[in-house]
Amino acid sequence: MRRALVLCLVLAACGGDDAAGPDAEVCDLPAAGTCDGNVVSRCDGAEVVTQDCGEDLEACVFLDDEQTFGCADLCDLPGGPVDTPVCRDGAVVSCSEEDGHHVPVIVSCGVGTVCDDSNGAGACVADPCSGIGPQGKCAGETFTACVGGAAAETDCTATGDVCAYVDDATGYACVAPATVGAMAVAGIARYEDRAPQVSGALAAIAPLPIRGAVISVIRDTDSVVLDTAIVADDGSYVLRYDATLGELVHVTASSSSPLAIRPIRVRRTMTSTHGFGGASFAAATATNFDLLVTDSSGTSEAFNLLDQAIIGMDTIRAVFDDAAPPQLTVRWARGSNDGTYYGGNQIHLLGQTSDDDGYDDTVMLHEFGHYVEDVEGRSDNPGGGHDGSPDDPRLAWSEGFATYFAMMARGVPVYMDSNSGGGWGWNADDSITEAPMPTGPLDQLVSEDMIAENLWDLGDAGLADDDPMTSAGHTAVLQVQAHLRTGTLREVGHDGVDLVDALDGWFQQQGLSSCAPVRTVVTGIRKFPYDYAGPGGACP
Amino acid sequence: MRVLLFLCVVLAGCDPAPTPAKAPAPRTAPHGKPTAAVEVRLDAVDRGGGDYDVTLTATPTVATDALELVLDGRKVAAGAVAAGEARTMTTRIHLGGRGREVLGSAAVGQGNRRRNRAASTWIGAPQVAPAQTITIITMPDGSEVAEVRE
Repeated sequence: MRRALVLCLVLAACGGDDAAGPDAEVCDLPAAGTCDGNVVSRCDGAEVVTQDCGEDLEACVFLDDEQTFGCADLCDLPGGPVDTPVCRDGAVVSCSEEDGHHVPVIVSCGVGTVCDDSNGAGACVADPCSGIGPQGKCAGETFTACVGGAAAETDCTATGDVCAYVDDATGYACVAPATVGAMAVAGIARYEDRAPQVSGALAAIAPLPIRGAVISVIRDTDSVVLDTAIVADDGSYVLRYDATLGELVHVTASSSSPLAIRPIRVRRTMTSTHGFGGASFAAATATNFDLLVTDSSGTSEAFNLLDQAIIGMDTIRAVFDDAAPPQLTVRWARGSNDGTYYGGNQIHLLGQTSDDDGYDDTVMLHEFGHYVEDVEGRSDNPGGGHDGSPDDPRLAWSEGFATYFAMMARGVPVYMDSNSGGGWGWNADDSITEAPMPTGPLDQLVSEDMIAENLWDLGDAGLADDDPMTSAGHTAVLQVQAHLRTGTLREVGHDGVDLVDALDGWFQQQGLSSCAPVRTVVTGIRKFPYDYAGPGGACP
Repeated sequence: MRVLLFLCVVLAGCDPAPTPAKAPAPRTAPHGKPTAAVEVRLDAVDRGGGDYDVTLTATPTVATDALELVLDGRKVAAGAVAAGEARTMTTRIHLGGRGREVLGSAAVGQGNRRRNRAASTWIGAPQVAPAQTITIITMPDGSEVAEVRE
């Protein structure tokens, strides 16, 4: 860490060299020193030594390495100091000035954008791989794959090949014409979505790509599958099959993804996934067919649930580097009334007229958050109903984390749940839910809302951030689950994983330099009496 | 359709279940979704002649500043209600031999937050599921797809 130490002996503070009396010989500051704004004070023998960190735009902070207070440039981050905006962990990190010292500002790039600093300064730009997907895609005979974060195009005709889907391991590729069917159908596959609004109500129908879903061409006469592929992330697909010229076939999309990185199936029954078949057409060497899964078919919601699960799986891969999470099964059908809940790598969602969760993105991703706890972290949630009231701290942690996951995965701090009564929505960034007993025990009952609000404030950042925690990011918050999974939990708070254990993990992973802003968010704003004395060290 | 609304919310003394504190939350499903702190129930009574009395019962599980009931499109504000105290709303619906679903919901407010919960009940002639042809497609890996076509 770069530190420009400008020491200044303030003899007068200790009475000067001609001060008389026993008090002049005693420096009663804590051994680690203290901060007063940007000024650090510590003892040098009997003398008080002060240093104005602000002279070099440094801040007075607790130095983890030295276990003392000292000056540090907060823009001197792991990976190198930040002067101009740079890309770190997919976010734009820049350096600003606040209260007389540098502060790092982290702006996470939203869905469909990535951080690019190839021109010398980091900025969020449209993801060049957006719309491709892990299996690549074909546009005519041009094969496009995402290689090293950039789109790489190959003209298959240059080698006498055609662009086709090979298998789930290979995806789309240039292949010899003789290895694939003589007929072809290509187009765009979409489903009718109804996006949840902040109020909880659903928006009007708007089509979205059926990214990642299985798509097949079926022979009408006997329902035999002639070829199958995966829809690219922009909705495009191509199927090559053999059939008698002119015989009737059709294209069907099914609500599942067989890819190892996105192992998802959205089932209608115990054994079947949802499928939607388009109009029949005559088999030909080249057919263009766009598929639209309609709301009126009762299947479009299944494809929305698949899409949300893909968001979740892609988040798992990005944060935990897990390229082969276990199979997730989602159960939903119109009319289903067995509740909305998660258990054992299965998510069940209501499909009733009064409460249908098929389009409720944050409800689906909340339940996916429990899957994340299961496969990447740990949960001791006793389960059961919860409504935001103070509850068992293990339940509050788990449910609050799951709600936070739904928010961070979508990049919007709002939870929404539609129903026939209009539904409801809740914004974690502009809400303050306090612990019931600010001076009470660590294992007191707390609200899941307080958990979600704290996590959002720890993870959000950027120029418009309304809390002092600006130097972390959502990835750092999610990675606390890794500590919960493998770390030794302190015997404080409630037995089992709760907010106390999560904060312990945070300081172990992030160090004590974040003590002040975390204290402001967790204890100052929301009154939770965390002791700031976990295995990561004692916060000053 | 002739609809008679003849009962309103009884704001006091109606089924005041004596629950002084937070009612125990049902622990039936693991890891359920966040809900509103109110239990909602719909009951229907066949009055004959195609008339049905449908009653919405809303019981907050924590004290609420503002309870709102909505039944078959009609809305009534019940104000502040203690935990465990039920409020009801009844409407008479004339069906004339047909059947239909009736929707009800209740919302609870605390400060500037509002959450609601909904319920439904079917009255009249039995519900007939819309005809939908489903074909089971067997995929090359042996998995099954329930295919719907329009």
